[in-house]
Amino acid sequence: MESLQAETQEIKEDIFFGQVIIIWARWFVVLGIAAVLFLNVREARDLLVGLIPVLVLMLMNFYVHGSYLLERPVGQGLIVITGVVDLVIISLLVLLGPVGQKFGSQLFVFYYPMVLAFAFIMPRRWAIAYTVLTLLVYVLVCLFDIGQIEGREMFVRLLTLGGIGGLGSYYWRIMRRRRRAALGSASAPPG
Amino acid sequence: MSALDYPCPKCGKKVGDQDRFCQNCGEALFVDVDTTSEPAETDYLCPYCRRENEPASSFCIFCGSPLRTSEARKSPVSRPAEAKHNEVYKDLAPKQVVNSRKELRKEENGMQQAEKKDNEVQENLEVQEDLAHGQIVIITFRWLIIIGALIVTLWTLATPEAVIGRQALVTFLLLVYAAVNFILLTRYLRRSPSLAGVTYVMSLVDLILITVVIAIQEDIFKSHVYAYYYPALMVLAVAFPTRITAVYTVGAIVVYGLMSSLSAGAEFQQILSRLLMMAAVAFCASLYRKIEHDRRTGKAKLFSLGGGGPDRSS
Repeated sequence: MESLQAETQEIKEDIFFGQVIIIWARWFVVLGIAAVLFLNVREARDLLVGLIPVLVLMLMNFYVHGSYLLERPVGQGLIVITGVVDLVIISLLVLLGPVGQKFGSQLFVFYYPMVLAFAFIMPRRWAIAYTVLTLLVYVLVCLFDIGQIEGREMFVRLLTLGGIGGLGSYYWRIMRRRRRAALGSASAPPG
Repeated sequence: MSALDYPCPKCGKKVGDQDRFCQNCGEALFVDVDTTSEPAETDYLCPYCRRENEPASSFCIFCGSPLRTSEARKSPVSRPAEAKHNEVYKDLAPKQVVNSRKELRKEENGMQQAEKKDNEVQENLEVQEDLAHGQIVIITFRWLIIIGALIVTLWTLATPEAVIGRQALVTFLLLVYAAVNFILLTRYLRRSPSLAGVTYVMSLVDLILITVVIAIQEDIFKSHVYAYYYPALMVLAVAFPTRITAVYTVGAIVVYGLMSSLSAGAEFQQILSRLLMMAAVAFCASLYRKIEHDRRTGKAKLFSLGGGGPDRSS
């Protein structure tokens, strides 16, 4: 029972300390999306449609960042929800985006920091689930364009995307072990 | 400051007879030797030159400093700085006082330098530990690259555009790379991780290899190999100090940015988004490393103080 409580506390602390990473990752993505969209505007409609995902991500991140700065960081539930919103928005951009679409879109690169940040702060099961979900959604989006898919390129994208989630989660586990060891030595009686 | 001024024993600027500290240098000034005893012979010692005066004297006959009355000595105000000061210098003449102060300052400086050295040693140890723990992630990433590249090479062999000689060379190089990584892995498993220099060089080789493979493609901008930069930058950012991570990341961004921009058919927005995400991945991984470092050290202190760690999640 005690170990369960300690683990729950550890997960909460992981989210408390680590959520600044997901916040920064999202700011990078917002900047990237804004740059791609605004450098590609040809009509007023493009600008209006392009503004929607940027605004949604910005508002969401302002809330999370604000809560963090007020030392009331959001909980695990909200982190998962915002992570799913990120995934949906990036996938919609890949599916309908202004710079190539589906497999031809290069906007899949926005998945990398989000998957990495999620792997760094969430428990292993959640991180793996999020990585797999991202891969599935991306494959699904590309399947709309099945004739254009180049197998080797798709393989490399999925390998690196899965790799970054897996390596992030692996490092998270190493750090947890290291932290526990440090705490153990600090709490042990001298001698 | 009153009209009855005398020089500060440290800086020589004039100070008032009621001043406890020099207004110029902050030096605690002589006031009394014993704050509890009844007026005695020592009451007539000059507070500045420590020579004996006549009981009725208001001023020191040797140096002209004002002599204090016994009422002033019995002040109830606590003066720890003065007490300490007097304890150290009570039996010393002015010149000796200055010399002793210098020695004390030297000692203090020595202690500060020793503390600084201790901190540097601690920092170095942390860097070595980070490298040792991060090495296995770098080695795992390298397996990922090798397996991925081997699969792509074999895949290419099955296509009509395959150039057998070129694919054979690539396969050979990959096997050499795998052998080197295997050596690094065995060293790690035998608990004697590679030296920092070797790890830095190997990570640089990883980045150079990715860049070279991109550079030899017909269309650099369209080459999909750049996707390997993301895990490569991530693994080095979690293992290396921030400065080295920054140098490697900026180097990779500049080289890839220039190469792909100069390629025919390059699209600026797409290159920008690729480069921005490279920076994002390296930044996030480096930030995580720093957060974990702070957590380890900060939490350990909390536990040392006897607490169980506050509930920071609320």
